[in-house]
Amino acid sequence: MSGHPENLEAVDSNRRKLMVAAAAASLAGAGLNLVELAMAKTSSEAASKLVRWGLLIDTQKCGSGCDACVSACNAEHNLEDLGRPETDAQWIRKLDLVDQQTSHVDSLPMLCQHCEHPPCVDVCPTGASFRRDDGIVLVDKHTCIGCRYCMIACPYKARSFVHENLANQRSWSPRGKGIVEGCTFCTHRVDVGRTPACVEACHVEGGGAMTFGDMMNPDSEISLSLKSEPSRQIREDLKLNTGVRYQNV
Amino acid sequence: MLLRGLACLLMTLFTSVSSADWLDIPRGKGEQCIEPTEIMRKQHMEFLFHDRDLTMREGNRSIRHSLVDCVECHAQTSQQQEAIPINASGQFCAVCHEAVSVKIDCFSCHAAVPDSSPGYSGSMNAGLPESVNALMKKWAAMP
Ligand code: SF4
Ligand code: SF4
Repeated sequence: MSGHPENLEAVDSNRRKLMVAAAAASLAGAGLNLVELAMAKTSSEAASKLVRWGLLIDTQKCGSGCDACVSACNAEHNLEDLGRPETDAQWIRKLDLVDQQTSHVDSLPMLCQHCEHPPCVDVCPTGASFRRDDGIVLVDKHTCIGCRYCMIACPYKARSFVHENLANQRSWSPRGKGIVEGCTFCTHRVDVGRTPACVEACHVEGGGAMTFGDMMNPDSEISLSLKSEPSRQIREDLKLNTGVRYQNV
Repeated sequence: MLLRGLACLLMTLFTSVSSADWLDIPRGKGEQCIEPTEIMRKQHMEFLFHDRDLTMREGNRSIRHSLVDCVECHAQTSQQQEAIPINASGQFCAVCHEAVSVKIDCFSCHAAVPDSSPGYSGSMNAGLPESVNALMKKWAAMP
């Protein structure tokens, strides 16, 4: 359970260092402060270490039959249903967790958790799996050799391997045979100040269960919720410090 | 003598390739490419390699040399108003690459036709209900 304040402190273990750095910078008369530094980037700026994108999912608002987020993701990235569920790409999926004792069902979307200490990056032999400065974990598809070590290392089964030739890729979402892929937190949207497709869909067609934002900005909606309400990471025992947090599971 | 003859032959070959007048290359939509044609002809790959890393690794979306923009400007439309893949035979990329026998691998992953999805190229969060739009705008303003 990570509802208490010291866990918000732990949202990013770099944060304290950064705050100190920012304080030092403003003391030095550079006129910088943390709030200014953490402003949204413009489309031409590089992703900043002072931002960490996160997603908070309230499972109580997430209906068991609802798959608005999944459909939105599939449409956004053109993850086509090839009729082969074992191998079809899946960047976000719905899980129903049933309590064996009480039969209570919790429904939640599972996707790449954008770990601060991502096992997929640890095992990648080529450097293709990497973590962007703002915490988004991606595959550099030009470098990936399709060895699939990362798929085995990921505790959340968050990645897919493309087994066949594809067509009709989106211009913002290149995908191809022989390469591993997973949720990108919709970097093409986030980089221009929009929210991921699943989050938008959840608010339009679903239960409004998702909150997206910067976990390093203490005033953002997601940080305020994380601070005031209980939430947890799935498999928190692994200490990966995930960027996706869940409530009411 | 033989060597000089060979050098001469090679030179002629290279000049003809680099002038590329003998190839029927479809024209782009714009007046002028973002770099001089002679430079683009030789260095387009280096430009693309450099700028793709800026976008993918750093999230910079305002790069100068973008494959998406190449496709946007250079892909042709058929008489039935359908987009023709830029790497299809006789199309912009294919003409030179076929002439010099260099395989293009870009389009096994990248879109070979311009994207016309209104959700993406339209204004930010267009088409969302007002309440959701307001929420998304608020989050965008307050990262
Ligand atoms: S959830 Fe899996 S794929 Fe995503 S960062 Fe963590 S280990 Fe990597
Ligand atoms: S499949 Fe690609 S991204 Fe995954 S470990 Fe292998 S090289 Fe790295």
